[in-house]
Amino acid sequence: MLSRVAESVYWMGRYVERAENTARLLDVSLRFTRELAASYHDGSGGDSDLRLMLQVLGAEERYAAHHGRIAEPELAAFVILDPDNPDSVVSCISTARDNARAVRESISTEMWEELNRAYLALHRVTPSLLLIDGIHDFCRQIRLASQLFQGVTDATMPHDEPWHFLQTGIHLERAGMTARILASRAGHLEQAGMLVRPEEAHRWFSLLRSVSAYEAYLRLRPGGVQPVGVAEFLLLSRDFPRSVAFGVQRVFGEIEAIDRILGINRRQGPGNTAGALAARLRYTSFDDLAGGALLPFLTAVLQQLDQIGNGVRRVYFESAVVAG
Amino acid sequence: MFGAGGAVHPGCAALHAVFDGWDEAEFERRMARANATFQQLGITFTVYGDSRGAERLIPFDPIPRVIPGPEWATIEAGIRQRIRALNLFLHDVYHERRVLADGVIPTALVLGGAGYQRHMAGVDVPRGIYTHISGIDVIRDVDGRLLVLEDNVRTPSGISYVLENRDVTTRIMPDLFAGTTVRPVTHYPELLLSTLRHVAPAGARDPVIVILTPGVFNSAYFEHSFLARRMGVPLVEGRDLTVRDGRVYMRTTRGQERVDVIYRRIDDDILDPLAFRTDSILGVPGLFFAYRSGNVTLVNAIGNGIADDKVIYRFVPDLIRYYLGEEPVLGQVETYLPLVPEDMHFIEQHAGDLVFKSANESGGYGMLIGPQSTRDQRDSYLARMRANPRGYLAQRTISLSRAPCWVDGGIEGRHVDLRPFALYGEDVVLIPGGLTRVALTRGSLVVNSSQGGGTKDTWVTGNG
Repeated sequence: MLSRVAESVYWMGRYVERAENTARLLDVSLRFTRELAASYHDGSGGDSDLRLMLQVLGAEERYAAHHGRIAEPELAAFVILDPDNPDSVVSCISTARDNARAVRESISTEMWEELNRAYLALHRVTPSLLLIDGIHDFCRQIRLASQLFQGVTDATMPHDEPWHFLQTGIHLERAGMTARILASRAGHLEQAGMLVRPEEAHRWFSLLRSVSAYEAYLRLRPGGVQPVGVAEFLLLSRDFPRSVAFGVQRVFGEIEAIDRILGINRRQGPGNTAGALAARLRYTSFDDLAGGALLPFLTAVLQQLDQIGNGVRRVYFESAVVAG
Repeated sequence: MFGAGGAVHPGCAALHAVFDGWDEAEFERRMARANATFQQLGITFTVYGDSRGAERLIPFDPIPRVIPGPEWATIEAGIRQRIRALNLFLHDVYHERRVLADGVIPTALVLGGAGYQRHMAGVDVPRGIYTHISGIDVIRDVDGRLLVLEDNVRTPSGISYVLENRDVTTRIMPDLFAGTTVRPVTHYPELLLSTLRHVAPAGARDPVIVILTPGVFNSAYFEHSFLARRMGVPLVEGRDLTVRDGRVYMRTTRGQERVDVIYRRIDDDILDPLAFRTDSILGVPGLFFAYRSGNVTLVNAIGNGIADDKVIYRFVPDLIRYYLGEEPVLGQVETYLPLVPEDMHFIEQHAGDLVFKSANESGGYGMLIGPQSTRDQRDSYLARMRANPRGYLAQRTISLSRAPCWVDGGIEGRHVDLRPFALYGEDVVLIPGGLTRVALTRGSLVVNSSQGGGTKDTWVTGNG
């Protein structure tokens, strides 16, 4: 397939996933801080949590450059609507749709229609409507649009090379998001103890909710919410589709599938990086990450995810090799 | 739909009966659904001059335009004849130039035309076919005569609207089809694919075919993508292609892959910065060399612009007689050239009754409509003509026939034209009908989508 098409399909997957993750994170973070502020009668209570959210989104500096304090309306408008923020939900959906439009011949009509529908719906959203009481509904719509898109993709697109690039994009994005969210809480892990303080318990519920893991965790890890258990689950679960280990394993599988289709057996490249990382996540015991080792570990994971992304670009999108 | 005296045309009785049962609300309801479908499918065109590449819907009129089978048979025969003649003309002007030696067309008009491509002289194209894909615009005047308005044998667009209009009509207005025999158009992509395969370079057994687009900001991008999807071939941009050793490759995840046939939707002069305009960033350096070497087929051929030149148009009936020994099946609009002294005299005498056109512009640009202009406008146009006589022409104004359209809550007649699409592979074939463009502004004769025109589904009725 054309390198340009592979690249567009990959970014289409990444941006749809990013829109969903961003919408979910914002929704959960806002609800968490509102409740926190309400129960403690302390307007500044959730400030640091919202700041952490901006860190997770990699948007702290950009936000600070245009806005002073961290307050809900400005923050929501920035994260959802701001066209100058390339990672705002609106920008993500627009970018995903631009990519889809450039490769419409390589994706199914159903996929295009789904993405186009989501895009057109964004134009009906006005800041005033959104910011009064519409944020939750909006975020839910975005999550649904992404999930519908991914379901339609699964059901209508041949599971061949372009599909594998799209999946690579989705899972790389998803694994990265979960790893960053977890990293933002790694510092709280040590001090959290057994959740004696209610706002600490609340914080870890919210963490689970921000990656849609609350119900899955309760079912798969009986015994209630415990910080160490939550962190282990989100990092190492082999079954939960938004855990870091799950995502990396999928990325590894997708890249392997691409190389199998291309008939190329590489000694080095993004597939090898992904394979090594997947193995590491599979055989790491969470006990080894106690005593402050979690954050450095996550930092290394994020670096390797970047390395995989760069490798995919170098090997598949910028290739100039002549086929035999 | 209506004949003389407002009587319903016999072929349209069933259709008329359905619309008769619709009130305004029903029309509006169907229109809303049709527009929502176009929007959802992303069937839009890009407006130039808007830096963000805004996408707009082309207005769609819900009332199909009906062409009775016998009338279509005439159009079809006329277009096939015309395309064969134009194709022979192209081969001739780029080889023996008999047509010039025999004095059928003044040599200066051909060799001095902007569409004449001197690089093509002596180049042999696969199977001698230049005009693989044509859109010949046909109108009917008030007397019912079928006239060719213009030839488009470079990169005519609009076929995607033909197919999508039909698709939307079957979805939104299924009740229209009861009791009628409408000939299908949906097989066009398969016909196109077999045309493209037919002209692959000799030796390419399973040819790799691609469509070359200028990119998403081109006004016809939807169509490029649509055709690639319907044929299952890659849609490439110039930056995806490279030429090495006179062969064309596309950059893939596997490495460089050989390309055999390029259906290009890029103009001649920006195809290859090494051979044509050097400032082209959309083209592929070396492409012309690969083409001339016979290693890749370009569809349509390079240099076709001389065949659909608005000045050469005046001579097409002569070309048909010269190359085919036949009388033209279709008429055409009387055309006057400033280069011909008696024509120029006529133009000066009748300026207020004529339509003036630039020979090298299309889409309704560079036009002056005599009856709707002031004396000053005409005088300045005549001055431009005298300064550059090869660049302009004048034509008799014609009254286009009208078709019923839904406008402002009622049905009114609007001027229409017809662009049937013809493919030249093993033979010249047409899909029944074509793109009906309609001037939705009352009294307007300009049907181009860039100037506020709309489209209709076009029905050829009766069994072929």
